[in-house]
Amino acid sequence: MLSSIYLKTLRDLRGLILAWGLGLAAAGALNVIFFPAFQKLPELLTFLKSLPPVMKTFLGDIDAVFTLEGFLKMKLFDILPLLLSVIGISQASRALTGEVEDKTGDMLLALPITRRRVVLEKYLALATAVAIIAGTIAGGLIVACAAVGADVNTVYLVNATLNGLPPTWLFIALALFGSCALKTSRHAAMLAGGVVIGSYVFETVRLISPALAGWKPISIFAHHRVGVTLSGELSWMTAAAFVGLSILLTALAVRAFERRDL
Amino acid sequence: MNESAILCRGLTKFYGRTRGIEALDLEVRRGEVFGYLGPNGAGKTTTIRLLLDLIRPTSGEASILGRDCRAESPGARQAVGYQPGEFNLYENLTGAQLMTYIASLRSDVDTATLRAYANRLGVILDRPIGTLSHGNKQKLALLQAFAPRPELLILDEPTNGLDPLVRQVFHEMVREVRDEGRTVFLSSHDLSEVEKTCDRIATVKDGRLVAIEDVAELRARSLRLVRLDCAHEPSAEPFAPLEGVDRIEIAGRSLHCRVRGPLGPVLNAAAPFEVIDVISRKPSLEEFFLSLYGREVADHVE
Repeated sequence: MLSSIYLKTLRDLRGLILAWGLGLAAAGALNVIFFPAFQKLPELLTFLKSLPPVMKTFLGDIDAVFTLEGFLKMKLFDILPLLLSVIGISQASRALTGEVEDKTGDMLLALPITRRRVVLEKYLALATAVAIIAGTIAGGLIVACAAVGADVNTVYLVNATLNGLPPTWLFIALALFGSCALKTSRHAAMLAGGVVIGSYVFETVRLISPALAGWKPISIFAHHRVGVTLSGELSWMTAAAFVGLSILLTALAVRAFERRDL
Repeated sequence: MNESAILCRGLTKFYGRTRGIEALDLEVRRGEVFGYLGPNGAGKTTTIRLLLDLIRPTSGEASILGRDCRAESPGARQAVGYQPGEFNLYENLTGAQLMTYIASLRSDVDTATLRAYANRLGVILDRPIGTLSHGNKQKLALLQAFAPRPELLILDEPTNGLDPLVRQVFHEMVREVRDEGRTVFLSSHDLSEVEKTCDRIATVKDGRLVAIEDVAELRARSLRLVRLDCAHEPSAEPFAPLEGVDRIEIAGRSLHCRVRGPLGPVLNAAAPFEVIDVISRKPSLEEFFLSLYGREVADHVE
């Protein structure tokens, strides 16, 4: 596990991957287990349908909430990039500035390797780490559904989990850019964290505010929300756009890191 | 083949308005042990970080073994083993794991050489680095610099925290590197250290190069502090006209003076006073450099 920067970074993240992967998988499984009890509350459906139109827009497809797919979308999948980004940003913001702050950077970067290689391998390791966590979550959901005999579209479970990855990779790339361009890891975390929280709040406000309806194209979470249908069909265009932006930000991170003093 | 291991031309680095190093012209020849001396904050580490492309020069250029430190940075660093002055190692790794990691990134570390150096330095490889003392971490830092057998070793305060026995081993290792025709660039503020190991030395002060000296020549032409104990009370007159002799003082039957050059004329002049004992001491490099920095050197042999 120490034959490259990529593998060493993954090795350093193994505890975090295990803890968050199992924790989020357990949380997802609990949703599956408790869904039948939720489904048996017809008065809740009546209540939800009586809500003002603005609130109904905010909640999305109310009828779908009473299917396991729709329930998991509301409880887990819609906020999955938020959860994964918290993990990713906390690590990405320290990925490079952290080496400088910890005074391990001089020895690493005095080795005959390019700065580009360091940034790319660290990014790939972080992207892999959140993918493993997402895979663990999907695995946990499938196991829980099988355990309680839930009638669910497995393709949807997998694709809805995967749909959380492209925006997460984008936020990780942003944090990495901050780590390369800014002086401290704290500043990098503040930059990326601010964008993630701001984007989520913006989408929430946009849903309930008719005045912001036209701003959908710039809302990251709006694109994520429609990235997968309840039948499990992925929007590859949306995913490709997120991946493209991630590549662009990573390239900017490389450029910033190559130009800076350590 | 390029004869310069390190070549700097007008190398300058400012951190905002603060001067790191200014207009540094320096050549380190292949196969020599070169000491780079100066007080804290003089610009030693800035120079090293510029050579390794960790920071970028404000102006000027530098090369390592003929390769430009900026334009051909990874290639230049392939020839370098570097031990940082102020460093941290990955504390969650063991020494062995650290060396595996570094070996994978360098691809020029031979396992047998690594083990041989580790044994000589007494490096602890099987414990997490976080549990090691400063001295043991320093040994690991030296190991990762020496193990690839690089053409150029850049060592920043290499003996900090090492016990005397390991220092001895370190001196042997440096001599071996020189004997094999490889080069050592050694930054230090420990003058006795440099005196023992270096062929030439450069001193920096306030970001500027003060002097480059050959250690052997420096010793040969350095003044000596002399005390003559005589049977009869001496007088200063016979010594005053002698070339290279100054600061003559009489204390009872002892004469103190400073002599630059051979001692013969001084002893001839002292013959009438029946010399009983001669005590002669060369000033240390430390005293020499104190004089470079404008401080007074001791006048007397005690």
